[in-house]
Amino acid sequence: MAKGMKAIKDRMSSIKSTKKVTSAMQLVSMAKLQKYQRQIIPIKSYKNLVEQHMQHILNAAKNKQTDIDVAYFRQPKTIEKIAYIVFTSDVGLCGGYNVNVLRALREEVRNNPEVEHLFYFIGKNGAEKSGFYNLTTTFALTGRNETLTYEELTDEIVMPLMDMYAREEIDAIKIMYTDYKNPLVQTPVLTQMLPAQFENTDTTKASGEPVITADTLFEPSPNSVLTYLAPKMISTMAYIYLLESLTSESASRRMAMESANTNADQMLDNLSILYNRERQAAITQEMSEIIGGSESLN
Amino acid sequence: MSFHLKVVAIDRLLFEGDIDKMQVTTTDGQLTILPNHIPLVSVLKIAPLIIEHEGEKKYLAISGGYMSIQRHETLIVADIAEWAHEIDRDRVEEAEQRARHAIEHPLEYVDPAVAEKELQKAINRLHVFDLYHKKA
Repeated sequence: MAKGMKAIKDRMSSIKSTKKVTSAMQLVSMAKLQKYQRQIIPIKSYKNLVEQHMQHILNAAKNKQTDIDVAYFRQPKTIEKIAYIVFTSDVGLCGGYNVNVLRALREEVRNNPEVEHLFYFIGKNGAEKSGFYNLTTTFALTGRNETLTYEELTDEIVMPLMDMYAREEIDAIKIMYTDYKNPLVQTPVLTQMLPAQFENTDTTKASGEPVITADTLFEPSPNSVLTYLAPKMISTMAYIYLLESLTSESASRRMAMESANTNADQMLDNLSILYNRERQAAITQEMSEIIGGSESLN
Repeated sequence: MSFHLKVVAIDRLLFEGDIDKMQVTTTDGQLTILPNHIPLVSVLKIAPLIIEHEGEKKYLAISGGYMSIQRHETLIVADIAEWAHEIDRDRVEEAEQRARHAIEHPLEYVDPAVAEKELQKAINRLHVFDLYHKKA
């Protein structure tokens, strides 16, 4: 009997040490979640400003009857090659975070079999697991998720892709990221960056006055201003999506760790009941042995 | 007379308030903007931005961006922007040396255009630093 008790004790101590790790990870991911949420706020307002201005400049440029001839805004007739920027995690133990993203991509590939898909993975997990989902990795940026700066993301991924788009080597750029809805819900979202989709209305602010009037001067020209702004816009969006994905990853990991903790507690409860029962059984047995022995002496 | 200016960079809002005049450098050259300027949209070079309000001058180092002047508001969206007092002269000098070295001793994996840009940024920061400290 003592052997069974020892085994249970060992198991309990191993569960306890695992629980220490998971609860530490839960705290860490909670802190990270808050950090990313704070980071995202100023960038969102920056994006809104750039987006708003870009829209107005486009409209103003159109009003001036200038031909907008910016390579980033070309509208391809047929779409044959699509590049995807995919945000996944570098480290595991984050629940369904990566799986959901990869599944959504597999679905996308199935729905568009006639198109060539190029995948640019950011994060180690996406690149490693892509094979299981029949996705071919064109490029992978791994191990740098948490330290990736806006400039690095722009220079290494976004700009090369935008230039490829301008040279007509690819016909569309899409970004796959995980949208952070709330601490419990994160959904993978696929959004199209290029060809750009512009709404053609609303040149006015709420006051009804145009933000950028028709007599606006462009220096040196509308085209050069737009050529400067377009990559800025796309890079900013990409960076926001990176932060959004990191937020979701932390939330997802927090959730996974929380359920790991609950499971560990449950297992410990069950095991300690089992242990007590075993101990009691051993005592009872020893007692009956002693009584049996003393009775035989009489 | 004054007008409203807002300076934003990717990570923060640097300035928001009324000013009397400002001096910027666009790709076409240096401009001094006074109140009631004609609406203008322009791309900015790596250059200092000097804001003046009630005789007090403020200096910013702008590493590229764009400017939009409208009737009620002037907006500067910078790639990277720093206040003069935030600049660490020793670090900038180091960056300048590094950039010069990269230009003089080209390596395969270093893009000369990038090094050139880094050099411009460093020179601009030093310039802004000196402007600020000469005045102060």
